[in-house]
Amino acid sequence: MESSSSSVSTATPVGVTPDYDDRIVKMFFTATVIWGIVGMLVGVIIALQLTFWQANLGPWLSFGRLRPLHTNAVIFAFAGNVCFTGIYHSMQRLLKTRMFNDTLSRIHFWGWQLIIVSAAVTLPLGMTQSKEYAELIWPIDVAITLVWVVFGINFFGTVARRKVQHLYVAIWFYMSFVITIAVLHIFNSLAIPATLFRSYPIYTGLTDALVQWWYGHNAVGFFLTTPFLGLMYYYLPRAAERPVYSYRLSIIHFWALVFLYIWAGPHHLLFSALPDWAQTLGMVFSIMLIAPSWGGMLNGLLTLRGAWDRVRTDPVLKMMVVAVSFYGMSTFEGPMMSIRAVNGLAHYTNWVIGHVHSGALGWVGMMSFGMLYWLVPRLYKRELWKPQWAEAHFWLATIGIVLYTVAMWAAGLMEGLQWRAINDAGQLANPIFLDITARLQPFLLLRVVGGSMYLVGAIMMGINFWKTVRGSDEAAQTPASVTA
Amino acid sequence: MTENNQHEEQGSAYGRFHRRVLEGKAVVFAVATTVAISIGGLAEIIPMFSASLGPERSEAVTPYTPLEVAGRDLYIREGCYTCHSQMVRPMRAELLRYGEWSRAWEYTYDRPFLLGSRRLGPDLQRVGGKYPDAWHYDHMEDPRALSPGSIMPAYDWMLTDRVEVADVTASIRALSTAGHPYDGDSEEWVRAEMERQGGEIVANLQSAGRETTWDTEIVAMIAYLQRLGVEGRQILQQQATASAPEAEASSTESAAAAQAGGGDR
Amino acid sequence: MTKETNRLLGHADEADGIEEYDNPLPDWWLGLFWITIIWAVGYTVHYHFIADRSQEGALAAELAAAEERWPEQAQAQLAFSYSEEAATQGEQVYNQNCFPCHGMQMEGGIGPSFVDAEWIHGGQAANIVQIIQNGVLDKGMVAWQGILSPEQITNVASYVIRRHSEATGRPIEEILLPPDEVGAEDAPS
Repeated sequence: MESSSSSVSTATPVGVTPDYDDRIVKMFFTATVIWGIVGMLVGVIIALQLTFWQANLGPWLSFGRLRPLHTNAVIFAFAGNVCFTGIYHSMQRLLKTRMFNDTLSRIHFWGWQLIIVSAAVTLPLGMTQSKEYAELIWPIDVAITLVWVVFGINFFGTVARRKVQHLYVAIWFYMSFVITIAVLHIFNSLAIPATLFRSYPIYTGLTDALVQWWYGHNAVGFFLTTPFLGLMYYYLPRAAERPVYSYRLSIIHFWALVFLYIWAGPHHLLFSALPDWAQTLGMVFSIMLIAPSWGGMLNGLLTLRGAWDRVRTDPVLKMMVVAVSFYGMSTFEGPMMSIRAVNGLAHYTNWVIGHVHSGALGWVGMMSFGMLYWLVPRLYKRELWKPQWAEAHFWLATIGIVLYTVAMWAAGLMEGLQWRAINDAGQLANPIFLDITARLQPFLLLRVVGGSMYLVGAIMMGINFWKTVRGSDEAAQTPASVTA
Repeated sequence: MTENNQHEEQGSAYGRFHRRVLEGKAVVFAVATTVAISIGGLAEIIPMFSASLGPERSEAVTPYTPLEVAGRDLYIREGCYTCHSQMVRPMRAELLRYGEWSRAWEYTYDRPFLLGSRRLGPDLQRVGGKYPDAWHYDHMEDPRALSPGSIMPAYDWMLTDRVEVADVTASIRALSTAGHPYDGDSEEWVRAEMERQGGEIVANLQSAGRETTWDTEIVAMIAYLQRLGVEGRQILQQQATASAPEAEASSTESAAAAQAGGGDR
Repeated sequence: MTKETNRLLGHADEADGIEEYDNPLPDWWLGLFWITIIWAVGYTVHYHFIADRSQEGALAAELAAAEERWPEQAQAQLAFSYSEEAATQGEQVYNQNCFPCHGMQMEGGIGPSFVDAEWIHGGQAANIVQIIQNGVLDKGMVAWQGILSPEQITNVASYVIRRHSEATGRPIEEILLPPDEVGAEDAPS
């Protein structure tokens, strides 16, 4: 079945380490681990607040203010820094050149961290624009734009001075990330400032809602999907030491994905007063996204042919397999939830939260962990402090995700059905909203358990990396097996 | 390696085009990507500004008063939209629970929109007039006193914290710039408007034994909540009366549902 | 996946050592893609042009079906009759739903008192039942019809009537008279 050479040639020979900037990769990696734990901790806290209202502590730590902090922290701080870690590491190697400008790299790093710190200060203070995943106040939006431009110049500058002609598929996905996030962020953030801390969008009503969900849906598409597919295309074949299954598939699914994704935003506004035609577009384009999304999953899973024996033992590959599987699962679930009839049941319920987290914890989180467990020993040229902890992390995270999603499915279906249930007299069977809220409590508690397991896994990873990086000199001897 | 290169040279046109033109020239690739990601957004967003294709409009809607704007800003500050939607869907069960379904023109002056994406608590699109002012006052102080079993946090600081007139004036000026029609945008006008409307709420609260002043956050919050969905409901009732002779079965039941409007706490 | 060639493209030198196979698209995957595209076009054409559907139309159909199944009688006036047993059972309904506004002792608070002589919307049993059923939108009184069952409304109305009678000394029989048979001073204002 297999033909040609089955081993991957190493284009960067051992010993001849080119002049790559790995310092910036280490900086982004450190930020990733810290913000990841912070963001997930806030997630567990707000999950707790839904089961114990007493956990809402004063104005600054109440659910309404912390929920945006959680989403911003895990998306832009954790996932953002993961992307930058992987992109800065892999693009130098894929393009055989150092980053375009080290100063721009540092401005990007420190600018991004400053934005995160500003978010962590302003959101608990109640300074928000209220648009989901675009809550940050307008001065921070301006800072994001500037930092993104710096990143863009650095990115395209590096592409321009590359030592290879052909751009590998990972670079395509990175490029779509750089371009699309700029477009989305700028057009969704256009607003009229009232004070330094407050502004009003230039759009109003349902137009504002459509622009926001064009942004919001594609933040998922181009911040949490395409860059991670790029990371998958680099780190999965490197870790598996297998050729990518199909170049042609990567071409087709890349172009289909980036073209189709943008249209699907209105599925967040089904049954609103948004014109029917726009709702239909949101729904049908979501359905058409199934195959392009699965193209990425297939190319990931089929690349592992011939490496499945190692999947059983290697936490890196295990995590990547779970990540790609959850990607396939949630990119099927999402289109199903975009169908009008299903959405009528699922919208506004915990099912949506479960769907998001099967993508976020399953795909984004596991892909990140897998990548980091592969990268860190190579980056620091040290053996991982406790490989068995990585194994434990894998199981904690996997079981945590399953508990989380199952709890949210159950809760979502229950509330969706009970909100709409009609009794024999033609009246609401559950007229009192709080009766339904009370019935959700066991599931919300189970969600706290699942989320906590996931958090504990991430903390174990943090300690493991800390010990690895700060390890004693004896441990610092570079074993041949981890030379990149 | 040689063998493989030969393969490509013999390869189909797709191979040469992709590898050397599209994927070999970064500028071409970047432009192609930009075009690919732009089409969908342009196709959906531009028609929103057209009268026939975009959301339905109505001239009868009025903008939020200064006090309501202040309350709306508090609603945003506290992240109320993270748990409460403002969008009643066109389904019978929702009409029974909440009242009339939400029309596009009701959001004419909703900047930003606050449709919400989650119902950890009930929808608030039609909450205006459903409870007395004093109910909201007590409910913000301690939600469980009025809604046993509620998981909503208490917002007791709203009872003591104050709204700055200068701050509200800045908001009114920005909203005027955005095109919201206001009779004034001076600090004096904003203060007078807030005192007038806030005074009515203070009087209502006083008659129920709750002492406060017009510039507390709770008064602004009550002003905003009591406004929600009321105007839309009135406009819909006028429309229903105007077209009563040829009214369809649906509008009468809708109107009844608007009256019933559920009793969620 | 029978057409797999597993032929390497040989560009690992341009991808940090990562090789790519020149495998064709899996047939089932391509088929799935085409099916979703055809479905998307078909659904759109059917929804908007052939069946001419809309969410407003769907709601009208749903309401019409409901009207047929549960004709107007659901909204009709409740056949109220007072009984001591109902009044006793009404205490629980009151304590679950009404006390936040009307007080544990019906002394009033957010809403009016029931233990004084004053009735804003009429003091006869029929007035009381009507207010509980339909609410008073301007005053923030919730319409309980649809939330409470007819039996619960009967019970809680009976409980309010009994407590009012006990507190003010007004006989229950008098409260139960129809509104048009009592003096003008008790009529709705």
